Amino acid sequence: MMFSFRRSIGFAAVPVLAFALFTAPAAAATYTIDGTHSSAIFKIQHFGVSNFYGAFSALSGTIEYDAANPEGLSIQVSIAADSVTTRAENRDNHVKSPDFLNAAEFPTITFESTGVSQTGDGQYEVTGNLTLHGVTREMTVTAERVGEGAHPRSGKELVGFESHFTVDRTEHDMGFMAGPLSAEIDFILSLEAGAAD
Amino acid sequence: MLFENILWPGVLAPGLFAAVALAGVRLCDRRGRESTAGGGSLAIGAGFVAASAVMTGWPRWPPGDSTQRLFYVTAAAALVGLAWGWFKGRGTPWLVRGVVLGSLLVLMLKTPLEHKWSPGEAAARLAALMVVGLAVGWALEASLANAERRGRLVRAAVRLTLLTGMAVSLSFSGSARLGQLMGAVACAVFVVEVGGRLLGRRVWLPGDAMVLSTVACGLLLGGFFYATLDAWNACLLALSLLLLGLGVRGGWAQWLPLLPCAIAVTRVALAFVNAPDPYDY
Repeated sequence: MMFSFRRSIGFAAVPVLAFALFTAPAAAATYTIDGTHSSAIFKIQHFGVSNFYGAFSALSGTIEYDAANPEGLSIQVSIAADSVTTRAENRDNHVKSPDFLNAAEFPTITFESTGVSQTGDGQYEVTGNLTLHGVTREMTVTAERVGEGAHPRSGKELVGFESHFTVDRTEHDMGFMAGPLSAEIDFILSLEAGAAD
Repeated sequence: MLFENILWPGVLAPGLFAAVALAGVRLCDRRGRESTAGGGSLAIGAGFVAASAVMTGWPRWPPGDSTQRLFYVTAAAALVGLAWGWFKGRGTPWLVRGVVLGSLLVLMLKTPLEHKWSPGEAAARLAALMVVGLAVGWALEASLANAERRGRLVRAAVRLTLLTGMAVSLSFSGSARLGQLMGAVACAVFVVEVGGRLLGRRVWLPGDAMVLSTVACGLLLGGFFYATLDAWNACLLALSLLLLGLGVRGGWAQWLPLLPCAIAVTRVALAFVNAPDPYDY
């Protein structure tokens, strides 16, 4: 019986293709940050006596995430500077003024990741560029994947991340009253994102 | 805390640097009573620059925000004013003032010019602000140039009270920093008023008004566009400056600039006190 060379190539190709199809990494999915279920909280020390907490209420952005390829994680977050809230109107105006955030000149605070490494199960080290008060600085933060799953009503895939990090505001040209108000500001950024339609 | 964060940057540092600048110019200029360089320009510029640097450090170059740009424009205006008075013996010509004011407006309003206003809106706003700014410059020059002995203490007191009122208005309008900077300008002006008399020469000389109008207009712009100084109060404070030009007639007119300033201070203080939540920095 003549063994056809072409037929043997064809037969060999099938398992190779199957291997490629079933083991190739899936493309990362894009998740849109849900500002309503995300939080950006900051802590600053007041006169060396107490810690004061405030928050930003308008967050947006995207997360590229693939459970099978954790280091393909990519995060892009935008926070509206004038969404800062400290529960007192005069203080909110002061924080938005040229003394601190200068929200009229720098309306958006952004973080864009440039590299991610996984340090544990659901634990990441995220390097990226933080733009605050018009000054961009590279920083590395630790982030934790809080969880993932389907929304119980809509069935939309959700994923959540949280990161705690510290920013020195004087490195972002925000040096007013750095003394009575601490230069270092601690942030908690908790993001919930849903799979893009 | 009071000394480090309020007295030193807002009062003592600007006063000290203004005094050194004033004395330096007066000592370097050997023309005595014939001197045409009063040093007031450099003193105001030095006081403002010192206060700004003490508060937030030396601003980076190129400047990153409107307050940093005001720092450099004020320094330039001070040097131009000093040089013009020293070498030309007269005030800066309107063309130079227009260039300085135009630069101030474009640099201070960079963000809305680039991102908010249409070309037509930008042109209209800039034209209106140029007219007001030049008028303020004229009024300040008229006020400072009046060397009549009669009423000079009243005129000096009105100028200082007005600048202090502007500082208070800005402080209650969401920005302690802008308020402190205006207070620093008031301190520098006080040093010139007192130091000039002690040195036995004319207190204010050609070229001094330009830096004062530049920094006053710049801080008002910052308060209106980037803090919460509302349109009414900004107009009232600008009107106060304009009325200084009328004060040269003497009599009751010398006190008139304080009226709109007092209204503005009262409005901002009431708004601050009546805010729904208490906040005293």
